[in-house]
Amino acid sequence: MMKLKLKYPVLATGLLLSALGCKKDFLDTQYDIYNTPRSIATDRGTLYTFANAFYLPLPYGFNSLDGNLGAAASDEAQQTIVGSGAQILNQGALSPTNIPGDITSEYNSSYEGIRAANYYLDYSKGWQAFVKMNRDTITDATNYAKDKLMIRYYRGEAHIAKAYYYSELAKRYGGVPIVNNLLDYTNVQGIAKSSYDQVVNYIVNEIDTYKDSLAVSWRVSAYKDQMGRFDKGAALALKARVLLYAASPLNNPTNDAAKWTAAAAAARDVITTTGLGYSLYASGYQANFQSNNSIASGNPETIMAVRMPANTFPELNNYPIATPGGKSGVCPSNNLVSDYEYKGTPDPTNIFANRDPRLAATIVTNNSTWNSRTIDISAGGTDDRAKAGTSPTGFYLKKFLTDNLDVVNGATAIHSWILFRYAEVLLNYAEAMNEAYGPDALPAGYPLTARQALNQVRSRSGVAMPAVTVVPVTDFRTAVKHERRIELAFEGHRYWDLLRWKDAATVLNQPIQGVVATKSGSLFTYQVVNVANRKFNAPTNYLYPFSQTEIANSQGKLVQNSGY
Amino acid sequence: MNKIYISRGFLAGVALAMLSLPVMAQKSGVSTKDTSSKTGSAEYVPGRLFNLPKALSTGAVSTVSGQTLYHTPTPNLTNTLYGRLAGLTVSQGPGEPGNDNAGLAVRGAGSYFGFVNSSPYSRYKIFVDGFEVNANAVSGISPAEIDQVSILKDAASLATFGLRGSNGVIWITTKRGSVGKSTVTVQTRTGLQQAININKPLDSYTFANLYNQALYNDNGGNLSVARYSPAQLAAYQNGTAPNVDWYNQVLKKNGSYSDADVTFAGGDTVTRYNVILNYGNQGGLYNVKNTDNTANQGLQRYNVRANLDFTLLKIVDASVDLGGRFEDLQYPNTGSTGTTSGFWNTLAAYPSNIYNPYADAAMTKYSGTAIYPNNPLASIQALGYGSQHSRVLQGNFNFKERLDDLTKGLYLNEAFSVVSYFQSATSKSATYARYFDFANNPNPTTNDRFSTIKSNGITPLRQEDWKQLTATIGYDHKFGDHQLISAINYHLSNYRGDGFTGFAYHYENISGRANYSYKSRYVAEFGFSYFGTDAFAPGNRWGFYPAVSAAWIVSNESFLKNNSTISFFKIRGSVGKTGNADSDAGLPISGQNGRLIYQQYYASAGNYYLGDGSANGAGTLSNLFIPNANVGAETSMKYDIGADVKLVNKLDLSVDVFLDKRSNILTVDNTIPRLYGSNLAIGNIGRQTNKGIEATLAYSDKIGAVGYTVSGLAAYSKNTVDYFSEVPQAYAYNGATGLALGTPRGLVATGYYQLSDFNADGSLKTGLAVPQFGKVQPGDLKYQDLDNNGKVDANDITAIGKPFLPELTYAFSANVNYKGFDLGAFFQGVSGSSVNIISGNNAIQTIAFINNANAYAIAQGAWAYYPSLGIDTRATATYPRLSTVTNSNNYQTSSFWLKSGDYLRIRNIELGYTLSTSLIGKLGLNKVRVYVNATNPVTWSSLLSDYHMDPEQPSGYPPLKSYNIGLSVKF
Repeated sequence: MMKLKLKYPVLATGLLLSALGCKKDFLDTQYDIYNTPRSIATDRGTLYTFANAFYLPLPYGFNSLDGNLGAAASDEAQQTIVGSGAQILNQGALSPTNIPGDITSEYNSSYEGIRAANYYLDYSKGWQAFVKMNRDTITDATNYAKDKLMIRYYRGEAHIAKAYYYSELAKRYGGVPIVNNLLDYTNVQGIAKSSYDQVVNYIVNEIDTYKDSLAVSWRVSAYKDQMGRFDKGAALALKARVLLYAASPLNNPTNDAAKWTAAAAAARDVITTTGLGYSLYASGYQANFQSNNSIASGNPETIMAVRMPANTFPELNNYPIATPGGKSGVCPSNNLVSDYEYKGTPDPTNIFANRDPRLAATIVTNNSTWNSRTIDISAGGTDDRAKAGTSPTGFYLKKFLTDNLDVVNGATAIHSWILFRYAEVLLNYAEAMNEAYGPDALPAGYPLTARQALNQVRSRSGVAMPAVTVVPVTDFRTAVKHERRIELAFEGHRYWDLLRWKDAATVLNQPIQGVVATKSGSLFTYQVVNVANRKFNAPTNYLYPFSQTEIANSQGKLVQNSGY
Repeated sequence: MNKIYISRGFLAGVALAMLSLPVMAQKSGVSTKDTSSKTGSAEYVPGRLFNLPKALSTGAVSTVSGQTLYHTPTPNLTNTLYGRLAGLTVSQGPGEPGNDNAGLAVRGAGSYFGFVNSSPYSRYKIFVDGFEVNANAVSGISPAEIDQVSILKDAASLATFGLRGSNGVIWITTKRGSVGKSTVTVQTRTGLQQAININKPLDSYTFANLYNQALYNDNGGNLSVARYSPAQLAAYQNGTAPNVDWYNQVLKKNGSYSDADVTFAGGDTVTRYNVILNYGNQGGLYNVKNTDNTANQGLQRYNVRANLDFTLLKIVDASVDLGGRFEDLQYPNTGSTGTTSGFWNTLAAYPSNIYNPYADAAMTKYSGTAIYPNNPLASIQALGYGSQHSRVLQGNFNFKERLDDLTKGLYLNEAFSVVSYFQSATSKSATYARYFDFANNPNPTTNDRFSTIKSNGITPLRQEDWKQLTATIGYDHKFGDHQLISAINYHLSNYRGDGFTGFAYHYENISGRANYSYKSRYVAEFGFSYFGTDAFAPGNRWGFYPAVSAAWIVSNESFLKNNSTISFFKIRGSVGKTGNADSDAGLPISGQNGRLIYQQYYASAGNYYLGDGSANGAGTLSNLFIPNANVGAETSMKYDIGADVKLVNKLDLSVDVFLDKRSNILTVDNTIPRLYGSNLAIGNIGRQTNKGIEATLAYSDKIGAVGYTVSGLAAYSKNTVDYFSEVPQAYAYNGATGLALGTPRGLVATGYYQLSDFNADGSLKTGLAVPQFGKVQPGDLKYQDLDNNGKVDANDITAIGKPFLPELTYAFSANVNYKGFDLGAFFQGVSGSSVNIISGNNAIQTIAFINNANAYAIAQGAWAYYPSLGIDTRATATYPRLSTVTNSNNYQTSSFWLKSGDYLRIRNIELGYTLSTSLIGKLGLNKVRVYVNATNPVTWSSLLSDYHMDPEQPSGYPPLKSYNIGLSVKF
C-alpha cells in the first residue's frame, strides 16, 4: 500500500513538472494580419513600398488651410466662413500656444517624411543583394534590370525628398533642426536648430550630390507610369526655388550678389539641362489646371505634381453657395482682381472685360457664366451679396475647378496639386537674373535674359499679354513680382513671396477689399468696399513660431524664433 | 504549435489525476463535507478556488441571485444589473434588439488605459463557472440559468486573478442540480416594449417661423430675406403643406418581448442535473412586417444549458457543463451591418416640412431630394433587410478527487473548458428612386433608381475560440480552534480569433489562496498570482501579485457573543497588488492597444499616386508603431477596509472604503519631440488614483401576516488622472492632468452678447474679449477670457462639468408580501454626471437649422430681438440666436451646453400572486405564480424634463420601458 502511495505521486509529479516546463513558447504570440520583419525579409516589393512612404507627406494644396486652399492667409482671398486657422494668421495672432492645427500638421508631417526617407535609406542599404534574392537573374533579366534601375532612383529620390521637406520647413521657420539619420527612441534627446544658411546648404548639397542618381525626367522616359516621383528636373527646380528664397531680402540681409547669381544659375540649369525639355503648356492657361491635363506626359510644363484619385472637394468647397452643394469657400479679393492688367481698351460697361485673360481663367467675376447661370451679386440677384454664405468679396474661385460638376450627387474630377511647373522656373529665373545681372544682361552660358524669360510667360498660349519694356532694375522687379502674383495665383506662392520680399509688412496690413455691384437695367456699377482688416506683425511674423509643445519637449535645445 | 501546449496541459491534468490513483484504488472513504460547494447561498461568499462562509471572508464581494435578476424581462443580461450590486456602475445602452449592451464598470474608473471610445466601461473581466469568458457570452446568458452574479472588488478577492484582476471581475455561477426530487419548472412572460422617451422635432409651422427668424439674424436683421412667406406658413397650419411626424410614420406603438424557459432539475447521490431550455423573442419598434422583402428589427435567442454532476467511485466528482446559444437578428437594411442606430440620426435630422412620404397621390413613389435623400419611411420599407446569426457553444469538464485517505481535507481538481463563437451576416438589398412632387416633376431627383430586392451572400464576421485548462490542489482542514482553507491553482488560457481579427491571446496563471482562521474570530488570508502573459517581451512577461487581508469577527468575541442587538459584526481589510496587461483582446493593434509592443510590425500607410495622366495607387509600408521592448504591465495597488454588521437579526449593513493607486499605465509618450518623425512611442509612464466608498443596507421584518423588506445601496467613487504624458498646455488650468477621467473641458459661458456690446459697425466694443472662432453678433454666446489676453481662444479652455462616469450611484427597493401577494418596487439613480447636449449625435437634436438641420423645442428659447415683429426674448433666452450658416462661436464645447445627467428611475415594479398550495396540490403542481411587471416605467431627470433627452442615451435608438405579464409553474 505504501509503495503504491508513493510511486504514483512521484511519477505523476515528474510528469507534471515536465508538462509545465518550456512554457516560454506558449507565451510567444503575434498578430497574423500585419507584416513582421520576418515576413518582409524576402519580399523585394518592400524596396518599393517603403520608398513610396516618404512621398506620402507631400502637400496636397487643396486641403492645406481649414480644409481649403491656403490662399486665405495672403491678400489673394478671404474665406467665406473664416476658418479658425486663417483667422489666427489674418489677425496676426500667431503665438507658440496659438498655432492653427494645419500648421502643426505641416511641421509634423515634414519630419515624418524626413524620417521615412532616412528609414528607407537605412533599410535599402543592402539593396543590391536583396534585389537579387530568390530569382534567376538571367531568365528574369528584364525585371531584374528594371528593379535595379528603380531602386537606384528611389535611393536618390529619398535624398531629394528630404531636401524638399527641409525646404518647406526652412520657408516657414527659418533655421530648423537637421535630422540626417534615424533617431533612437530609447534615448530621446532634444536637437538644436541649425541656421537658415546651414539648412539651405544642406538642401543644395543633397540635391547636387544625388541629382544624377535620379531619372532625368519621367515624362519623357520609358517609364511614364512612374510620373509623380522626383526626377532630375524636379530636383533642379527645387534647388532653383530654394536658392531664390535664400537670396531674397528676408534671408539675405546684406544683399549678397553671390546669392542672386547662384539662384540665377540654378534656374538656368532647369532650362538648359539636356533631357528635360520643358516648355509652357500650349493649350490655354485655364486648361492646364483642369482634369488630368497637368499630369499627362504630353504636358511639357508640369515638372512634378501630387496626384489624387478623382474627388469633389475643391468644387464642393468653392462653388458659390447659390449653386446646390456649394459653400463659397475661398473667395478672391478685389486686391488681386484689380491687379490684372488691361489688355486693350477698358470697357466702361464691363470693368472685367479686355483684361489679362488669366483673370477670366482664375476668377469668377460678376455677370459671367458659371455653373450654368450668370452670376449676379447685386441686390436681388442669384448670388446677392447680402445673402448668408455668399462671397464676402463678390468674387468666386474658378482656377482648378471643373464647371458644372454635379457636387450634390458626388460627381468627381481629377485635381492634381502642381508642386513645380516651368512657368515658376521662368519667373524665378527672371527675378534672379534681374537682381544679379539686370533685366537685359545675357552672360555666357545663359540662354535667356530676364526680360525674355518674363515675356515668355506673358506671351503664353491663351494669354498673349504684351511684353514688359521697363528698363530700371527696380521697375523690372516690380513687373516680375506682378507677374508672379498673376501667373501663380492660388498655387501657394503668394504668402511666401510677400514674406521673402519683406513686402508683407505693408501688404498684409492692408484690408481685404471686395466689390458691391449695383444693377440698373443690364448695367452694373461697382463700388469697392473693405471686407476685412488684416494684421501682420513684422518682423516677428516673418517666421512661424515653434509650438510650445515642441520647445518644451526639446529639453532646452530648441530656441524659439525671436519675437515669440 | 498550440496543440503541443494543450496536450502538455492535458498531461498536467492527467498527472494530477494519477496522483489520486492510489486513493482511488482503495475505493474507500466517505465523501467529506465539501466546503468549496459550487452552489453558493446567502451564507457563502463566492470566490475563486473556493467559496468561504460569510464569517471567514476577508474580501469585498457583492452578490445578487439569478432569481432577483430574473425580475427584469430583457434579452440582455447586462440590462438586469442596474442598481443590484454596490460598486457596479451600469450605464444604459440603446434599446435596440441585438445592440443593447449596458456599459459596466467596477468601482468607477481605475485606469484610463485601453478605453474603447474613451469610455471607462467594459474594462472588467468575466468568469463563468470558474473560466474566463467574453462579453459576448455574458450578454446572452439568461437569468434563469444563473445561480449568482458577484463582483469581486478588492485585493483579497482579486488576488488570484493577476493581470486579469485590476479592473474588477464579474463572477457568475450557473445553477446546478442538487440531491432531491426531480422538478420541472416552466417560466414564461410576455410584454410590450415602448421607448422611454422620443424627442420629437418642431412641427412645420413653428419650424418655418423660427427658420425665418434665423435668416433675419444671418442678414443683419433684414426682414425681407424670409424663406417662408405668410402663405406658406398658413399652408403648414391648415395641412395643405407637408407637416410630417416621421416618428409616427416609421415606428409602431409597441415593440414586444417574450421569453420562456423550462428547467429540469434533480438528482441523487450519484447524479445531479440541471437542464435549462430557454427561448426569447424581441420585436423592435419599426412599423414594418417580417416578409420576404422587409423585416422589423428583431432578435430570437435559443439557449440550452445542461449542468450535470456525477459522483464516481465515491471519491471522484465529475461534472459536465454544456451550454449552447443561437441568436438570430434581423433589421431593416438602413445602411450599416448589424445595427440601425445610424437610421435614428436620419429620423431625428429630417424636418417635418421637407416632403410627404410619398411624392404622388397613388403612394407608389417615395419622396426624396438631393439634400434629404434618405426618406425615413422608404429606409425601412424599400431597402431590404439584413440578418445576423451567431452561435456560442461552451463545454466545461471538471474532475475532482477527494484524497481524504492521503490526508484529510486534501483534494485535486482538474477542469477543461472550450468556448467557440461564430458570427455571420447576410442581407438582401434593394434601392428606390426618389421623386419630389411627382405630378409636376416626373424625373427622379437623385441618381438612385429602383431595383428589385436581391440577396447578398453570407459574410462571416467573427470566429473565436477559447480553450482553458485549470488544475488545482486544495487542502481544507480544521485543527481544533484553527481552520485552514487553501488551494493552489494553475490556469492556462488560449484564446484565438480568426478572420478580420487574426490574433491569439495566451496566458498562464499560477495562483493560490490560504485562509486561516482562529476560533472563527480572527481570520487572515494570503493570496497570490504568478501571472505570465504573452503581451510583453520575454523578460517582462511574468509578475508576482500578492495580497494579504484580515478580518476580525467582533461579534464572536466574548463581550459581544450574546448581544441581542448585534448578531454579527465583522471588520475586514485588505491590501494587495494586481495588474493589467491590455485592452480588449479582440481589438487588433491600431494605435495603442498595449499588446505586443515589443514586436516590430509594418502596415500600409495609404497610397501615393503615380501615373501618366492618371492617379494609380502605389502602395506604401511603414512602422505601425515604435517597438519598445521594455514595456510591462500596469500595476494596481488596492487598499480596502470594510465592515459587515447584522443588527437584531433583521438589519444587514455593509460599508467599504477603498483606494486604488495605478502606476505604469501604458501611455503614448508625448514628451518626444515631433522632429523624431513618429509619435507612436509608448511607455509605462501613466498614473491614476481612484477612491470611494460603498454601503449597502437591507432590513426585513414581519408585521402580522405582512412581511416586508427594504434595501438600499450607494456607491461613490472619484478618480484623478495623475499623469498621462499630456501634451504641454499653455496654462495649467487648460489641461486634463489632475482631473477625473472624462471630465469635460471647454469654455466657460457667461451669457449672451447684447446689443450694447457692439459698436455701430458691428465690431465689439473695446474692453470686451474678442472670440477667435468667428464674427459674433448680438445673441451669440459670450465666453470668459480666463487668461485675460483680450481674446477668447483655445487657451481659455478649462474643466467644466462632471465626468461622464457618474460619481454616485444608488438604488433602493421595497418589497411587501401578504398572503400570497407580493409587491416590489425597485429604484435606481445616479448623481454627479454631465451630458454634453451638442456632442456627437446629440447635436442633431440641439443645433438648429445649420447645414439643413432640424429644429427642436429647445430652439424656441432662442435669443431674438425684433421689436417690429413683437419678439423680444433677451431676458428669458435659453439658447443663442438662431442661424442657418455654420457658426463656430456658439457651438464650441462650453459650460452652456453641459447639462446634468443625474436621474432617478423606477427600474422595476412587480405585483405577483402565488396560488395557495392547497389549490394547486390537487393538480400535482408544486408552485404557481402569476405576476404583472413594469420595467423603467418612470424616469425623473432634469435633462428629460427640460430638454426631452434621455440622460443615459440622449440620441440613437431609445432605451425601452416595458409592461409584462408572466407565469411561473413548478411541477
